[in-house]
Amino acid sequence: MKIHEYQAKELYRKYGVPAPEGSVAFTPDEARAVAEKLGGYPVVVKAQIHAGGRGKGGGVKLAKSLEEVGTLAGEIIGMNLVTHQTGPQGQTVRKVLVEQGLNIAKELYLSILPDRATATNVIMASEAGGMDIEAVAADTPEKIIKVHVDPLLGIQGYHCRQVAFGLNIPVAAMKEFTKLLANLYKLFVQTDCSLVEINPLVLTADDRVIALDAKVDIDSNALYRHKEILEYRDTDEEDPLEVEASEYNLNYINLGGGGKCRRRDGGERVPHHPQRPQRQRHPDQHFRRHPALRRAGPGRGGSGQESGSESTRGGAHGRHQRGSGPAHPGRIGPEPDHRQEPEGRGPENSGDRRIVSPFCFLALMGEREQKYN
Amino acid sequence: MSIFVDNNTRLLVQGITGREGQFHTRQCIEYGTNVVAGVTPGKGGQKMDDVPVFNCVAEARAKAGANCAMIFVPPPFAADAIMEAADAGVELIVCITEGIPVMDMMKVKNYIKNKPVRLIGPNCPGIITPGECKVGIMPGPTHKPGGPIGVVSRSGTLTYEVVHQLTQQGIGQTTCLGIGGDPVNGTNFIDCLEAFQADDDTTGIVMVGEIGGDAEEKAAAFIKENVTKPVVGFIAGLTAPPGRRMGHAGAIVSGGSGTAQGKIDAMKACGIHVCENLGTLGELCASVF
Repeated sequence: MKIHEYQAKELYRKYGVPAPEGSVAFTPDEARAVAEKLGGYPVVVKAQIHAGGRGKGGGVKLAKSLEEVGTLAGEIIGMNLVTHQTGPQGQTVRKVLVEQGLNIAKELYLSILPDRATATNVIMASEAGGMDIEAVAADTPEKIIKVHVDPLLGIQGYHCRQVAFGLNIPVAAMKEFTKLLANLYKLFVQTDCSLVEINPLVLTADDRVIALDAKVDIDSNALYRHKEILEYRDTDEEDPLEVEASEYNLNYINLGGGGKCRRRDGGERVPHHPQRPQRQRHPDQHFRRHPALRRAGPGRGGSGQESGSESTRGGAHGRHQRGSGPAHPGRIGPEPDHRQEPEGRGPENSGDRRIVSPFCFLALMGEREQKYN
Repeated sequence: MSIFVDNNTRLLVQGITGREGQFHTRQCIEYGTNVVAGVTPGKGGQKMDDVPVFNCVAEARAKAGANCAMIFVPPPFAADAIMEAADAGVELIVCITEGIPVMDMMKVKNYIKNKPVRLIGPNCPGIITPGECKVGIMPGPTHKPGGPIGVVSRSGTLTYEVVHQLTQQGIGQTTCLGIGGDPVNGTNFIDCLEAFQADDDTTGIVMVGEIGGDAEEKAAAFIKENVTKPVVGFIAGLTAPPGRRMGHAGAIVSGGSGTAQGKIDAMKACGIHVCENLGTLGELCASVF
């Protein structure tokens, strides 16, 4: 899951990774109010969207006065920002981050991500900060330092020193840098990130190290244990069809054009409540049981409210909420027949049946096929 | 002959009393797999059909003599289940569970690194030696026993599709396995290719890859150096947009690396017969093998 820069910086501060002072603003007035509280100018106004390359697209501006903060915020909020990551259609900006400008001596690059081949966490750093790191990696790979950290061991002092010396951090800033890196690693592990990236990490004229930008991606599979991170989800930044699909726990990606079906594949979604009473299902019942079809309305036991909260749960979990009745902890095996859904209560018999997009059915069929083959 | 599982496999199922665990255990037994034990903490002493249930893997292994574990434990507890099985000395662990956090799997992978165990998966359909033993969730009747082709894949349903097309062409399989769609998994392509190369009954290999990571590129280089048997390859995800996870946690093109085209080019360069249209894979196999 992607989160905004201002949210990432909240996490950074929580874990002791220094970030510039500042706050998010949804209107030019709010932006001015934030700027007034900061300690003087320049102030930076940064568009908050889930995509990189905002500076080049005109979404990051420097303001030298309070008036300018309001003007720039007014220009940026509501603009359609097009960057190399948004695609040609761009993304509407709904909020800005207003923060203190810094006296920058040097721009560095620092990130941590899991390395799938070695099953270690790799710290990547470079003196060529502030640039497109993928271009640096392709053209001048020798400028990138990689330090692998064994996940069972965790980050050690020598890892930090290796990175610090590789980046030619001045002695005066060494202690602060190693502390920052150790804290960033802690954040990475404790919040189950799939990426933390600071580009640029700046070295100020007075030898402080500050995360000027902040990117954090969270492993979606681990969200069940990070309820606080789920609050950061911004559905405005996602494709509306994908948001709708996710409400039904469907794994769907809009490819544009005619192809609109994704099906779950690979392993098996094992429900989070393995000990809930089981009941035997006929394959045909699968459709009726699906949350998408349970919004059916009167006589359905208020299932409409239930399905609204299901987007926050993982996997097939949601499908177990209804009809589970009293638990029989001792018994194993299918529930007796009386637990089967009474005839005539399926969606095909309900009055105000909700129309479900065809892709839901396609995805369901994939799921059903797999379960019963 | 076959790889990893055969008539001597004695299976224990972790999470045997859950919905998926029960259903697929029955399917495996029906196929002919020797299921000797199940494990669900707190349900020791009970039975699932005729299979004795134990509280922990060590006990199940000691009392039932299991040498293979199949895991149907929900994601929050699956990493723990794998490590429990590894610690109990189970030689082959097949983890079906999808959705295990990467951070957990990295710990697991480092934990089992120096242990004499093989992990298949997670997020995989399992492994089957047609006619002998099925450890997983694949449709058994689709497979044709007797060989001579080995199938290894990162995808579940694509494996079934490939196997179906082979069977339609009258080509049987020695062993078919999915290695899982997660970024960090146990057995990789190279392990399987090595095993198929060493298996006398396997005369050809089908390898199905997908976007994300560089496992296919590494496997292609390995094939060029070490595999003398013909290999047919397919890569899923030619139309995948960059930066999006395509169903599998590991199926993501990041920073221009891990693209389907890159993998196809690498495989072609190493002498693999790459199939560009999945619908024609069976025919291609018939002409190559």
